[in-house]
Amino acid sequence: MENKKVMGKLVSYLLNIVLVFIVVLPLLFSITSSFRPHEDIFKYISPITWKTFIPTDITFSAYKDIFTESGFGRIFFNTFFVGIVTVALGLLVNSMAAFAFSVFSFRGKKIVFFIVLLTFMVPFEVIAVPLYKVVSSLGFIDSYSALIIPVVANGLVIFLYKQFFDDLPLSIFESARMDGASWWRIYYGIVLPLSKPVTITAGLLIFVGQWESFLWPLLATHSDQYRVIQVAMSTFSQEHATIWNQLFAASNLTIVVPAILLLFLQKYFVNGIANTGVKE
Amino acid sequence: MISSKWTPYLFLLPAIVGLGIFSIYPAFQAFFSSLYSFSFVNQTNQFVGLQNYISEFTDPVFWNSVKVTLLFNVVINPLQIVLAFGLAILLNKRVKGIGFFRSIHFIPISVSLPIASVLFMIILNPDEGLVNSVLTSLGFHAQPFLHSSHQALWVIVGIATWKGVGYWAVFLLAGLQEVPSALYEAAALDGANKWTEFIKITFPLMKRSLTFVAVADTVANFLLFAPMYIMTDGGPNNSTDVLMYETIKNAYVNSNMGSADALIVMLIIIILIIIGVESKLLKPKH
Amino acid sequence: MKGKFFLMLVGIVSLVLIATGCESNGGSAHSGKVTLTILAEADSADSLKAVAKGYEEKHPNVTVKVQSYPFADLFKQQQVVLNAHDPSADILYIDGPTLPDFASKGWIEPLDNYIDDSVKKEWSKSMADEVTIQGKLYAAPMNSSSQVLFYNKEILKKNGIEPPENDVNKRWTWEKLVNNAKKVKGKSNGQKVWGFAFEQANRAYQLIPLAQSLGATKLVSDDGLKSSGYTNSKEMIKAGQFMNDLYNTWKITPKISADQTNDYFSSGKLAFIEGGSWDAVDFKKAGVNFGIAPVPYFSGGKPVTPTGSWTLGVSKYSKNKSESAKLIKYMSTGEGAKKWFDLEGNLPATTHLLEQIQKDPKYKKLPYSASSLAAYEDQHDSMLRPKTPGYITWESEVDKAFENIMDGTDPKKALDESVKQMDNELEKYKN
Repeated sequence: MENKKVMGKLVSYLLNIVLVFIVVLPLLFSITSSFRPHEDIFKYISPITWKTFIPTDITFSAYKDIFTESGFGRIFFNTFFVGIVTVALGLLVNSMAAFAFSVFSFRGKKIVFFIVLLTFMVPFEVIAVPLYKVVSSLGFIDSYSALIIPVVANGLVIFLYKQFFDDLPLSIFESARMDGASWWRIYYGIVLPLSKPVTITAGLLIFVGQWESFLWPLLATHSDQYRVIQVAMSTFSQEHATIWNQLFAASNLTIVVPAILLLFLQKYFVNGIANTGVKE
Repeated sequence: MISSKWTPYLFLLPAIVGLGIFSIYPAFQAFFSSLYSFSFVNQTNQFVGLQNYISEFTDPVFWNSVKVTLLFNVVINPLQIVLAFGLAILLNKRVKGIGFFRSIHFIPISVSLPIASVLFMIILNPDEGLVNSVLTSLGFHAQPFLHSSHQALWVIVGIATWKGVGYWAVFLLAGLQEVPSALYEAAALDGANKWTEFIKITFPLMKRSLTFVAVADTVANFLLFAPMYIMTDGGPNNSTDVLMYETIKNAYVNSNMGSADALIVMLIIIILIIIGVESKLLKPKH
Repeated sequence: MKGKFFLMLVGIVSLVLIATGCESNGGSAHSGKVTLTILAEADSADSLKAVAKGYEEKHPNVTVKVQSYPFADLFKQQQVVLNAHDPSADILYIDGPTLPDFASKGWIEPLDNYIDDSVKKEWSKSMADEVTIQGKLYAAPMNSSSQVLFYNKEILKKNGIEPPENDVNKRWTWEKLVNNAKKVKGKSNGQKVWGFAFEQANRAYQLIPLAQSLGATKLVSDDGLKSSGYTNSKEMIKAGQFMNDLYNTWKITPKISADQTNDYFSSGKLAFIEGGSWDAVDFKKAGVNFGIAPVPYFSGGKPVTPTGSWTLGVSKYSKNKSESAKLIKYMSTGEGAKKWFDLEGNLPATTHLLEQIQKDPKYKKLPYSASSLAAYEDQHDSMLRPKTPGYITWESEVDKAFENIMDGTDPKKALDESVKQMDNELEKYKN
């Protein structure tokens, strides 16, 4: 019995370590390159030597330049700001909708839910022109509103919440109603506190969506003051050259920052409603 | 279910207004535009009925794209879901340092697809790539990877999986955390082995999370085009020419917005059929 | 029922919002003050602003705004704005060969009423030709472009290769280049050194001059609506075979993408590269010991270099067309063009500047001698890319054919298939 446990642990460590290599190795080129002078990027690429992985002239100039020349300070702030506001609004709006779908029966529910599902199957690239017209007529073009408001309501997030709420026993709501609680109170005071894990994942989904968002910010804003990271990174690919070291430096930062965020957030997975036994 | 006259509508209101203005209305416009075609002679949009659809049906390029899209998705969706489930189970183990491993395994989530594509293109270059450099120094043959019509699609499957598995595992991990550990303790007392535990407890209680991941992953992969757009242009010899790539090409290269919209309508119908099957398979029994 | 009612309500609300909002945008012509907005590429945005400043000083009622977008996405952005009939964009920074595409969609305004013929004479022959579509002027050229052959002096010396001379009368043939590139062996810094690459690997701009050097005169029919028999002509197939051999038979060209070729030359991994004259400054900065020579031709054929470049056009949906036309006229001629050239260093589009470059002693020495050579080529043996309203399709299909050829597909098969797709797409432009 003990032996088996030790073996199990060993296997899981081994798997984890193999996975770490699979995840990190492809990124190694980007990490190394970001510390090289621009003309050295491809200098030692083939055949492989130790120089392929270790920069010979280590320089931090790419990191410095993206902040001093390309304004990445502002760009990171914008992306964070847009991401966090969207998460806050999105969690509220979409969990409310999911609450309605999960708890109530009402006329037109099936068709409305079907349409909600359809909304996340329509790729943005195809509705870009009509959406641009709508947003432009609302006067949002080139503002934070343009980046935030159109993506707050999100069919996928509603679906995610609904999958979770469907597991909550109806008896909770019925007894709360008997005690005279309003529906808002039930949603806000009972359901939301029970929903920490799903809220974290939903928040992540919304945040990652904004963090990676490219075409919409490109179309909807044009001033430097609203520039977000994916758009900013694509300016490193110029007509006749790609500024590889800066591109990789920026990309490494866009990877590290959310990873740190996750490091802090992941403890909520463990401390969520695990083992409270609410699930039926 | 609880009936209430106005309450559900009030809860729905903000989301539906948002979706109505920013998704549904533009999507309807796109749908209507699939019935129109821009006439370069008169400089106007002309109603052509189902012509955009019919001309796709008679185009061998369309059928090739359908084939490539289905092949891609038949492989990538089960692969990603199974691997994500496996990763979630691995990361749900309470071993020392699991927090560190979780953060590392989730890193690809924040690597954007364009960056991942550029990076893998360099690493997998047939002449000068790191992977071939390693292969040849170990005595293997260099591989063409993205430059071969037999390998390119599978390379893209690999890249998208590298990027996607951690992401989908997050949702499954959250689901796993909700499985009451008392159930496992009871099962252990009954002398159940790991496999029975998985079939009897984990899997049934994970059906809702799995349905979400299956549906969301399927949609994401059917709509995937960035790697093809950046790395292969649908080639070599149309071997990675998925429907979504054809759509983008029709919309932004060939100026056939109507055809692009028609392609999307058909793509959504395919997606609906497939997620319909998936949700049937994963339907909770109680 | 209520559900349906609700949906309808949402629909109505959104329609009302759109209807009422629509007219509130754009239009700034009151009180004599005009704001002109240019949709441009990020790299050139600062220089455009600087040149426009000269105009603003002379015309205090005009303010020029430059909105910049990443190079790779500029066209997509413009498409969305123009498809939405957005009046907020006045002037568009457009790649020359795509002008027929913009014109056929009615996105840009013909400028003959605003800019007279005498102005056209200031521009180089090739660029004046590029901005004229079926006899009408559609844009003002900002740059021209040409190519030169760069070589790494050290690699050539190490391999005992006599370098080509910077003399158009002693131009190498492609055959000679290939023979010399094949001699490149050995390693530098422990790294493999390659013989030759085109900077814009697999892109039509650099590759169609191969076919033109072999005698191809037209790459599409005169009306621009047929590619079969032109884009898959025997000269194009021969050019495709040459590319196939470079990659797969002689193996002197690495299969890398266009955004890496210059970096390979800069880091001493490449002996020869055909690239834009603009690269000379970058190679110098990277510390490469290089020389230049004119672009080779096929023996028995004639020298041909590519040309064509960025232009400024006026949006059909602009409310300030006449003011916009005045601004682009200023920017593309005389003092504006001079300032633009000083800032950007690209090959200019005015005959005056092209001739000045060839005389100026500053342009006798590297890296600037590359511009002087390019200026000569542009005036003597340049050929434009084909004019067709389906240019973007045409280019993407040609690029794809060359990519397939690189991967080993038979050139005739690759080009025939592309031509089939192109002709399908060109159908819609026919009367």
